[in-house]
Amino acid sequence: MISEQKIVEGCIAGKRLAHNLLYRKYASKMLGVCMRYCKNKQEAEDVLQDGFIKVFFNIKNFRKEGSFEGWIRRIMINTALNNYQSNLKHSNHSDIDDIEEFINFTEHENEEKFNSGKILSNNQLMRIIQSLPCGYRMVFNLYGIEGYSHKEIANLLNISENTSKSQLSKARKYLKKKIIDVQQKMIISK
Amino acid sequence: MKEKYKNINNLFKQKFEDFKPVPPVHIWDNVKTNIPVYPKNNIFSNYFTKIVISIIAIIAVFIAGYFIFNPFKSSPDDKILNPTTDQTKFLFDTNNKIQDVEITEIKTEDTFAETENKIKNNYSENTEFETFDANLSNNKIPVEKTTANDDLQKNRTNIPESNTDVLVQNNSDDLTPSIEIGEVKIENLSDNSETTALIKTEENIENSDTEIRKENIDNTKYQNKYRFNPYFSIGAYITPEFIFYPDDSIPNNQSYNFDVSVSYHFSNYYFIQIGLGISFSNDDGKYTIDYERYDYMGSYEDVYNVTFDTTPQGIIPIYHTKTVDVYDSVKHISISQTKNKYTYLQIPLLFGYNFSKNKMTYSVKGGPSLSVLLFDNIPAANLQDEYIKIIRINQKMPIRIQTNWQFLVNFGFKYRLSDNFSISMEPSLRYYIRSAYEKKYITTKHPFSVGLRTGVVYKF
Repeated sequence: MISEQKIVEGCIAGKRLAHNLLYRKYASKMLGVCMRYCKNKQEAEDVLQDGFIKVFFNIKNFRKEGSFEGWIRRIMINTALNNYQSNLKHSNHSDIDDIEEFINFTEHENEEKFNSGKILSNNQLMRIIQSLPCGYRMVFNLYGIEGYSHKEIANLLNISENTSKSQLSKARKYLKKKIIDVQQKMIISK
Repeated sequence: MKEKYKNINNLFKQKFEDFKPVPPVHIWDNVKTNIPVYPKNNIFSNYFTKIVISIIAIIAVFIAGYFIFNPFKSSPDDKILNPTTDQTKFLFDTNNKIQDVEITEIKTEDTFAETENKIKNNYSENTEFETFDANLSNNKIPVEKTTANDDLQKNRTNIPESNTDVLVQNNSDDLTPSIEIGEVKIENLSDNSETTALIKTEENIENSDTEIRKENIDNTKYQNKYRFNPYFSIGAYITPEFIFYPDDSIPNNQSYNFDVSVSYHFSNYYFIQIGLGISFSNDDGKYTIDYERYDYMGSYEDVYNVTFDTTPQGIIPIYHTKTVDVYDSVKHISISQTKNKYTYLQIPLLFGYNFSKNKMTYSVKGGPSLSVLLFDNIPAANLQDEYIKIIRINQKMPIRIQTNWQFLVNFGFKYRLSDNFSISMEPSLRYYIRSAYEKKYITTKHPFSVGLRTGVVYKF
C-alpha cells in the first residue's frame, strides 16, 4: 500500500501512475461532494473533472499544513462555486418562489415528523438537496456540512452575511419538509 | 429551534460522510489528457539517484581509463626500446665464456692460431655468428661487430699482464695471422716482430672499439629521436551546438556543453579519448489554454417578499430584497509561454587519428556518446486567475526523453602554444540515434546537430 505522502510526491514529480492512484483514491468521495453542490450528476462530473485538473496543476503548491483530503475538497468546492457563478445568469428565480410557497404552506403541519428522516437513503437525500435552488444549496452545503461561517460564505458567494443567513434558514426549512414529504410518500406506497 | 437545525445538519453530514458514487471512466480519461505530461518514471527522476549515478559514472570512467591506459604496464615494445638490460647480460655471458676460453688456452700455452680457432668456435656457438669463416686469402672476415668487439675489449682487459707476456713470448714462431674485430684484418706477421704485431693488433682493436662505440651512440640517438613515447593529455572544452529537425516543425534548439576529456596517444597517429560533460539546453515551452471566465457585470436588488406595515399615515409596503450578482461568461484562449530547461550528463568515447605539421595538429575522431538526462525544469501552464473554468490545456512543446545515444564526429585543429599547452578548435557533427523528444510527438527519428568545440589541452 503506497502512502498518501508518496502518492503526492509522485504527483509533484509528474508521474502518471501517482496521478492515477490519487484519482482512484479520492474520485468517488469527491464526486459525492460535487454532487451536493450541483443540480445533477452530469454537472457534478464536469466539476469533478475540472477540480482534478486543478488539483494536478496545483499539487506542487500543497503546503502539507493540513490534510491532503481537506485540500482537495476545498479545490472541489471552489470549482463547484465557480460553476455555480457561471450558471447564475441562466438560473430561474421562479423556483425560489415556488419553494417559499411550499415552505410557508407546510411549515406547521410536519414539524413533528422530521426525526424519522434517518430512514432515507443517501441517494434520496442527494436528490432532495439537489432540488434546492442553487444559492440555497450552496449556503446550506457550506454552512451545514462544511462548517464555513456566514462571513466566509458571504465572501465566497459575493453576497451579504444576512443573505447567507436568510438562505440557510430557508434551505433548512425546505429540506426538512421535503424529507417529511418523501417519508410520507414511502409510507403510503408501502 | 437550534437543536432542530442541528439535527438536519447532522443528518446530512452523517449520510454524506460515506457517500461515494462511482465516477464514470471517461472522467479519468479527460483528466489524463489535460494534466501535464512529465517524463516517465525511471531511476533518474530522483535527485539522490542522479547524483549517485553521476559519481558511479565518473569512477567507472577513471577505473576504465586506468586499466586501458595504465602507463606502468610493460609492453612488448619495451624490450626493443630498452635494449641495455638484455644486451648487457649477453655481453656478460659472452665475456665469461671468452674469458674462460682465452685464459685456459693461454695457460696451456697453445699456439695463437689454436687460440684463435677456439675463440672463433666459441663465438660461433654462443653468439650465433652467421659465419666466421676466416678468409685468410682476402684478409677479411665478416664478424658481428658490436658484441665481438666489446667482448674482446673486455677479454683483453681481463687477461692478466703475465699471461699477455706468456702469449708474446711463446707464440713467437707461430704467430701468423692477427685478428681484428669488426672488419678483421689478417696480416701476415711472419716478417714482423711479435711485439709489433701484438701492439698493432691492440691498436686495431682500440680503433674498432671507438668506431663501434660511436656507432652505438648514433644508433641510440636515432632510436631516441624516432621512438614514440605514449602520453596522456587532458582538455577542457566548451561547445555551443545547434540541433536540427529536418522533418518537424520543432524550432531548432541550441545547447551549451562543458566537458573534460582525457586522451591517450598510444602511437604517433592514433589516440583514444574519453570524457565527461554537462550539457545545458532549453526549449520554448508552450501551452494553449481554453477557458471560460465569468466576469462580474454588476448586481441588482431582487424583491423576494413584500410586507405591509400599518402606520398612522396608512399602510406602507415594505419590500424585502436581496442582492443578486450578475456574471457573464466569455470563452478565452490563453497562450502560456514557459522555458523548459534540461541538464544532461554526456559521456563520449572517441577513437581518433591525428598528424602534426609544424605547430599544428590535425585530427579526426569519432565514436559513441551517451547522454543521460540529469535534471529538468518544466514549468506548468501559467494562468493565475482562480475564477475561471479551464476547458482544455494543450501542451505544444513535447517532452524530451531520458537517455539518448549519439554518434559524434569531430575534426580537430590544434595549435601548440608550448611544449605542454595547446588550444584546440573542433567542428563537430552529432547524429542522434534516437530523437531527443518522445516519439509520439516528433516524427524525425534522427536529428543532427553541429557545434564548435573549443578548448585548452595540456599534454603530460
